[in-house]
Amino acid sequence: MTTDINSHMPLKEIVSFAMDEVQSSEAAFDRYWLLAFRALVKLKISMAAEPATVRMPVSPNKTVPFPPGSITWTKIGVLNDHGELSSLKINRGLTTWKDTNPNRLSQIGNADIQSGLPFLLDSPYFFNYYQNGVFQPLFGVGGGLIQYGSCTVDEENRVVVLEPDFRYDHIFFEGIFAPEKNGDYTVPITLLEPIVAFIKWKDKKGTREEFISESIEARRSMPKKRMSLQVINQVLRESEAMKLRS
Amino acid sequence: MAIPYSKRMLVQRIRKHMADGYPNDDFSASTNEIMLYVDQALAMQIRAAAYENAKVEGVLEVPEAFLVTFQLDAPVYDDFTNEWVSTLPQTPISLPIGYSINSGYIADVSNGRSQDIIWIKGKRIGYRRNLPKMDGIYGRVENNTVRLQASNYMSLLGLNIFIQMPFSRTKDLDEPMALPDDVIDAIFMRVVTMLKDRMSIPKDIILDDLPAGNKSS
Repeated sequence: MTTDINSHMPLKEIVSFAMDEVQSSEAAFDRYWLLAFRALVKLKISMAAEPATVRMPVSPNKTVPFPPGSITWTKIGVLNDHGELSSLKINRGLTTWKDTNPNRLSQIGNADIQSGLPFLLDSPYFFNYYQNGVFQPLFGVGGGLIQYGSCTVDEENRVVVLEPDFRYDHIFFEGIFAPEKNGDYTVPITLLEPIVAFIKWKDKKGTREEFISESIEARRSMPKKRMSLQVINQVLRESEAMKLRS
Repeated sequence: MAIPYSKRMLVQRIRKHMADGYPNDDFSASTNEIMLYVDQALAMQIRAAAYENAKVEGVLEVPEAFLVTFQLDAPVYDDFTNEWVSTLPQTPISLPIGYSINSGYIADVSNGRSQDIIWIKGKRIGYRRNLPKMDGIYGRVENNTVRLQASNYMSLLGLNIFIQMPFSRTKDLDEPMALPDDVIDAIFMRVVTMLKDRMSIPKDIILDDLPAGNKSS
């Protein structure tokens, strides 16, 4: 086993660290590895997972199946011409009925209410600022989000359900994917101490409080969550605005 | 370099102690018999030492001096369970696994020592299949057999299996004993006590220059 300190380390190595700390015997290895696995699941979901982004084609029935290996989604959107991911509105009103059916569109086309309110999506960009052909802020109306469409997610059938007149061929799916398993898992080194604390807690050699404080400390030092001067500077500049101050 | 302390020396010492000198042919406790007493006392001392450690340090630990590494016989495939079975040099003493068997591994000239065998208690085998598994050789112990299985069911044919365990039996009377010197005293006392029972020798009367039998005055 290398003594180098890298950004990631195998789960087995963390288990060995834990065994060394509590001076346990080799027989605890398997049990500790399972505890470490549980710690990994917990920490991954709560803070440590690195989301990955894939571009998925939209099926003819305006749904998108989850990419294989994804555990959960974090962001769904379309790509704009600035290279940014423009997120879609989560529309809880969209029905997930027949969302796995290839003929979904014709099925939901048979709507009960045929004469709905006028559909305003023709000019989506200035939705809340539009009046009489001019664009201006309307007093008392929220700014709203500029959206390029809306979607809802059917977690059980693992599909993203888009509105029937969604205009784009592809969506970007950002999600947390199952870690690659190759005999063992490789874990960010910041998770070393929380996993050891979790093992000790579950083996009655430590406390839950120790685990939580280790997790908080680790989260603060996660590479993307660490505060740097650059980030603080940016936050201050971006929150600066012409506004009333108390 | 100290003189290696063999089991034969300990047995001789006990015999001399009991016979108050070199034992003659009339001395009924044979070398082998005393050896069995010594083995029995040694096993108890291994347990005592492990639990002593637990009391002092809070950690169960078998002192290294008790440990011996054995190469097991080539494992034999068990068709029914897909496990590879080999025989241990002795039934492990009644410490938890990880202490009754300290470690196990595969080794050969070209690759050196493998990762350790991952020990699983027999009772866990059933549900263990439903849990995630890392790569490696899994082992369980049953009486004096060890049953191994690779996580990918790879054949273990012809692999050299080594097991390190506290050893309380006698393989060779003249080998240096695998025990720390500080437990010799306890073993000696224990064996002598048992032999006194066994031989019913009222030693205090023999050694105090008084005539045998009940005092008349």
